[in-house]
Amino acid sequence: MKKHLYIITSLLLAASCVYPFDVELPSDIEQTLVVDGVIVLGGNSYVNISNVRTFDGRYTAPPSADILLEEENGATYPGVLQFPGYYRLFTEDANQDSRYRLIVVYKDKTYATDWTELANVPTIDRIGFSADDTDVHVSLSVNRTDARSQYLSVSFQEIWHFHATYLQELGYNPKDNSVYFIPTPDRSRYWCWQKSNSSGNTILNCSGFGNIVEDWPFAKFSRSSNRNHGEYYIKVNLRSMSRDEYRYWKNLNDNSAIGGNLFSPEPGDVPSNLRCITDESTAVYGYVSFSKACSAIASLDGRYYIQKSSEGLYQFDPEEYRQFYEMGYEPVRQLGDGMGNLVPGWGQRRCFDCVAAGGKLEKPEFDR
Amino acid sequence: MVKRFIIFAALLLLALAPLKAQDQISYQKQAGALSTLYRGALPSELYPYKYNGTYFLESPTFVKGNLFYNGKYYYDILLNLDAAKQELLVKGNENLAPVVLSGKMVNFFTMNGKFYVNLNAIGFPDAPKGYYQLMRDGEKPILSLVEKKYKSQAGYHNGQDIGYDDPYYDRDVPDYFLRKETFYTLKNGNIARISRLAAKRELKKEADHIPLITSLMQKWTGSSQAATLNDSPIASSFITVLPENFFEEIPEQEVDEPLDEESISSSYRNKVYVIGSGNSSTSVRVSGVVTDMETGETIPGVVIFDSNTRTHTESDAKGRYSITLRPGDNVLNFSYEGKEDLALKVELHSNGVLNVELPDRINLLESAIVSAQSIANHRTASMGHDMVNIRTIVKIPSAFGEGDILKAVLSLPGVKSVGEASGGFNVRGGSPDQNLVLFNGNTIYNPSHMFGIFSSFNPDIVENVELYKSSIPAQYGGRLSSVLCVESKRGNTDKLHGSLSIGLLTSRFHLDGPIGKSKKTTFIAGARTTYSDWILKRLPANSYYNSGSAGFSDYNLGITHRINNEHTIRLNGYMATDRFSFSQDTSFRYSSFNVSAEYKYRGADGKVFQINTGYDQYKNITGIHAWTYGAYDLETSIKQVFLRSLYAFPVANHYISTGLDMVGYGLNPGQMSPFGLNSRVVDQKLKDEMAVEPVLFVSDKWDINEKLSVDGALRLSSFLYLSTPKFYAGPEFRLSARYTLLDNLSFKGGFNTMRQNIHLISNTAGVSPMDTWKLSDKNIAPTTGWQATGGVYWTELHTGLDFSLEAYWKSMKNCLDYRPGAQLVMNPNLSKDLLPVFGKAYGVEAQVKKVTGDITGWVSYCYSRSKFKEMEYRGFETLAHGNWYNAPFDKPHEFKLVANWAITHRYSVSANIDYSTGRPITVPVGQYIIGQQYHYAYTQRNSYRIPDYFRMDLAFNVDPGHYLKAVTHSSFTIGVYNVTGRKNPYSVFFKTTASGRVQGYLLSVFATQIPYVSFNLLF
Repeated sequence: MKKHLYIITSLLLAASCVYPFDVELPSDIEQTLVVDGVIVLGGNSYVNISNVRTFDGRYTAPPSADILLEEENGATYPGVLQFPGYYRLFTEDANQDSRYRLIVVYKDKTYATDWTELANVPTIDRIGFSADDTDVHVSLSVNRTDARSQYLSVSFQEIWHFHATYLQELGYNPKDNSVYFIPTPDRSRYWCWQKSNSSGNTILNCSGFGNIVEDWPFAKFSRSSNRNHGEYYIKVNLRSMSRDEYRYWKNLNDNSAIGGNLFSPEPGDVPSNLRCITDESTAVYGYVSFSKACSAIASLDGRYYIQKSSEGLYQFDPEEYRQFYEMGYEPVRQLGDGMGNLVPGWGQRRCFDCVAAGGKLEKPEFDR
Repeated sequence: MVKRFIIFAALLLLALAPLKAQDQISYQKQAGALSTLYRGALPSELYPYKYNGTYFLESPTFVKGNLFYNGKYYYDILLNLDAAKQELLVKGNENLAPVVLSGKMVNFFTMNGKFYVNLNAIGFPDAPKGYYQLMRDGEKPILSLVEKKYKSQAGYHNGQDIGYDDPYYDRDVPDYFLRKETFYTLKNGNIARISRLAAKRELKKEADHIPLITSLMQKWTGSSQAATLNDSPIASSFITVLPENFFEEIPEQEVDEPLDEESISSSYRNKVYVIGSGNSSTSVRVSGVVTDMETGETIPGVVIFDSNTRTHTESDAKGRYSITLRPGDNVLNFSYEGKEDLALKVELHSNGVLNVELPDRINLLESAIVSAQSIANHRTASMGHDMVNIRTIVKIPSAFGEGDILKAVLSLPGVKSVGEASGGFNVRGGSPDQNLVLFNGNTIYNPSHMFGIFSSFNPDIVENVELYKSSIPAQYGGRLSSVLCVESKRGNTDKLHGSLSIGLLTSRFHLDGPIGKSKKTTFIAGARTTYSDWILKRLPANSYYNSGSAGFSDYNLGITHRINNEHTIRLNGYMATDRFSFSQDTSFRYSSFNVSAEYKYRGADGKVFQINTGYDQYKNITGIHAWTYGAYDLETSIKQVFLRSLYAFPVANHYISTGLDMVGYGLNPGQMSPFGLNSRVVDQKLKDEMAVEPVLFVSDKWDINEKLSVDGALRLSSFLYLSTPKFYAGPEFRLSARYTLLDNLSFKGGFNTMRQNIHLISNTAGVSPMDTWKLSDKNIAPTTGWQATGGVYWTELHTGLDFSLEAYWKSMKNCLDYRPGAQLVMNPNLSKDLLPVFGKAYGVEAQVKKVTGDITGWVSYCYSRSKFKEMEYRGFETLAHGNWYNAPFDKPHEFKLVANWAITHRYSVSANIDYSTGRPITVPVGQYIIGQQYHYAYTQRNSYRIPDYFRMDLAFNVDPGHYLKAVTHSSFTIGVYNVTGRKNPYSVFFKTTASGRVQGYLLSVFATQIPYVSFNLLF
């Protein structure tokens, strides 16, 4: 709403303008610790350690830190450094009914969360697909088991089968600058698999609903996407969030969206659930979430929804063949030149090679 | 261009020139035998403007009379007397235009049964030019000369102000003809002026047997035919045509001491009042009674001030006054809070009486009025009180040309807003919710439309605006910073009036007038709407907002019934709605509804009893309809009923006021309802909040002596939160004192404590119409505070300049700030997201004001600060580490100029200049990755500022046309908002550029010159 107010005010007046504004920045902000942790009992847990970057590019490389997950009954789960700044915690078998806290020791200061109880995660009833003129929408229906799972974090992973745009029928011989027909086109690079993770988490606030949340649209892709070439699978990971975590992410997103206009909330640093317990005045950014998770997989035959798109092929003069070949182009198939002649149509390799287009020949598996 | 104009004008003159000659030839042809009489000149100049009254002696209708002209008698001639030019006009018949008879040839004539004589033509060359009515002949003949003076004065009244009743009186026309009657007699062969009372006394006597004038006429006519001009004898019977009570005396008991009866003057302004006769070398005493022009009630406490001697006095409890002055020319100023200041030019010869009626209205353009207004400021202990009348408001340039009440308030020193086109305002470092906005006694919770672009008040309805920012009267409370009282007009008592205004974005309409023939009941009704949708429709088709709509409307209705001079009943209603929506997925609606009834008694002894009751409601609804299954409406509302009573009475040199102020609140903090059949949203409602706020108050205005006065008040404030019972109570003290060192130099000091039990929940810099209100409860304590103020005031009487310097210090407790990312909507634990903070504000306000002469206005400079500090330390999360930090509306330097240059009576130029330091903001200074995305790291709250704000607006105003034959009048304003085109920052936001660099951007809303045209039609 605030955004609407902001924009409509500007539009109504029809005389607004935007121009750059620079502020003088403080010099020591890059020393501030940032902790991004997700503790999923029964799933993958990780903690990412970093520092703040300044707008002028100053950045301190991820420092080393000691990471420890403590269970209230005394069990501990240390973080194992996977690569600089990234620690994995093995919590697959941790007790889901206990309370936990995370401790980070960094530069002789100790940071810790409060003891945190895990919110229950609802069950996934259905993953649905629907389409409008332009997009395919993926929606989620969940059944909340208790009020503590009011806020949900949704992430997903997709796997789909796709093909290159063209089957290559022509070849190029750079030795004599000639184009020739391929008698048996190579179909091995025509079909591929692709895998993708959602960027960030989508947050669902169930507070306005009853126990059943139906057809909540959380993702979409274009009908002309290669996801619709054939088989399409999506694995939805649902993670419960506490109210504090929900608000943390919401505030963080609000702060990052539009800051400073009259109808946007006064921005400010969103408090972390970590505290520096050895020096109260030391700031820390980030959040460590403690949650339970569930997941479900759904599939789709995208051919029901596909809207074909083609990638254009180019016609070159023979004396240009070598030049474009060295730039990554290859002849693909014959095209009419408008004068009744057939000439080679050239395209990038990804047009006929699905591996070059980012695919894999082997079908990948979903992550755990 | 100029050449073309000259040629065009010349051609026009050539085309029109023959008309006069043609008309004259026509007269002579049609006049036939009487052509000699009709050889007079055509009236040299008609009065081209629309005016009230008539320049004719009695009415524009020509009547038949008899005439002695150029040595001959003419009978049954159509006659009329232009009393402004003292020209006798004759007509050949009704269809012809009149001609002017040469004054040298007219000796006498009769008209409407009255006898008129031209003294210059019968042997009195020194007599003032004119046709005298012979009221009684004799050795001491009584003659009356009626003159009509062309005047222009806004705010005058029919009847008493112009000297007679004009049945076609139009209150919106400022020009009129004032009737002035002077009495003469002949003494020792010379004409001598006598007072009205002396004339009365003489007329009561029997006529003597020496008909002097008749004899003189016989001399000129050579016969006794003069008497034959009229069927009636020239005798005292003419007295009967005088207005009723024309010679009514001032009751003797109202005058302190016997006065010279020959020195009575009337109480009409805009003329020189001659009081007494002869030339007294000693002091002269003027006494009289000051009454309310509308109600006839006497007014105690009116300041009467003489500009020359700087002598002053005050009317007593019965409105009586007496002041001793030097003989000769004086300017007596009458000033009283809420009444129009009056300046009367008096020529004093000996003791006399001058009764004055003060109208409600203010006229800032009247010269010398300012002096009285200024002196009134020196006579009261009140501080931080600004009053702006609607005429000033409409002259202040504003975006889109509509007179804007709130923008006018923002032009006053110490009043700020966080940005252009933002709702709400900040007074002396207070937040917007610390201002109580009253419209006819009703509380207006959202005083703006369209997110602050327009104010909620229809300028055609509003009469005046008062802002109390320091010495708040005892009957007002419940807010920490200020009280803004907006009063509407009550409706014309004479006839139906209206106006229609058309602007770029809005149009408005109003109608007012009497109900019934008794004229005791009047009404005023108005409506306003916008047609801003067309702008949205013109946005590009691919714009997200192309299919959106936005608009507002408001409606006013007021009915006033005057039972008699002492008792008045008044009913008021106000309704406003706003809406905007985009692409049918999100809509916003909010509305105000207010009704009230008021009974007021105002006795002749100065006692006032007033009681008013009413109902106020503000509601907003947000519709989120994007997702069918999740579609919902979110509604919040505040309702209140109130009962306020006031009893005030004078006791010696005290003026005591006491009363009860009771408000009952009912708040809906939030209700989420499913929208549409497919919505799965569950109906949710936060618990309603109920509370009552009874307050008892008593105040005393104590004039210890002429130099020192003290105002003191005590409010016993209590607040009972009913939903989960919690009771708060505490006293509020109001104290202010004034010491007048010189008549035009005074010092004042004051101390106020205030309590506030209702809070606007908003964590945005600007007030949003969708913000909600919250009552104090067991977790949210009332906001309390005190303000200490001191000031020095000096009036330069000769130039009319008022200089004032006020300093203040304000301390507040339990103000509300917000945790970063506070959830303010549908939050049952709202108090957990609120941060109680201390507040402090201090500043100095310097102002120079000029309300006399052609150039009027004010210029002010303020230095002020407003800061917050968390009341509780919460570790590193504590805002500003527990130190003081800038409030979002802290703008230290502020310069304002409002000026109006009246080039002529109709044409004026207005200017408005506004400079202030940029408001504080919180900016990102770094970024970090979390959740696979970059997010900003921020500075401490409000530790940066946006660039300074500067704006200059200019307007050219053409006031209502005065054309004689016009059925309607129009006014026209053309102006430019933000003449310099400065890109004043409205907001700041940050984006990551393609290169990965984070860049701040300033959005400027009015980033260029905004020309506007406004057209108003009066009828």
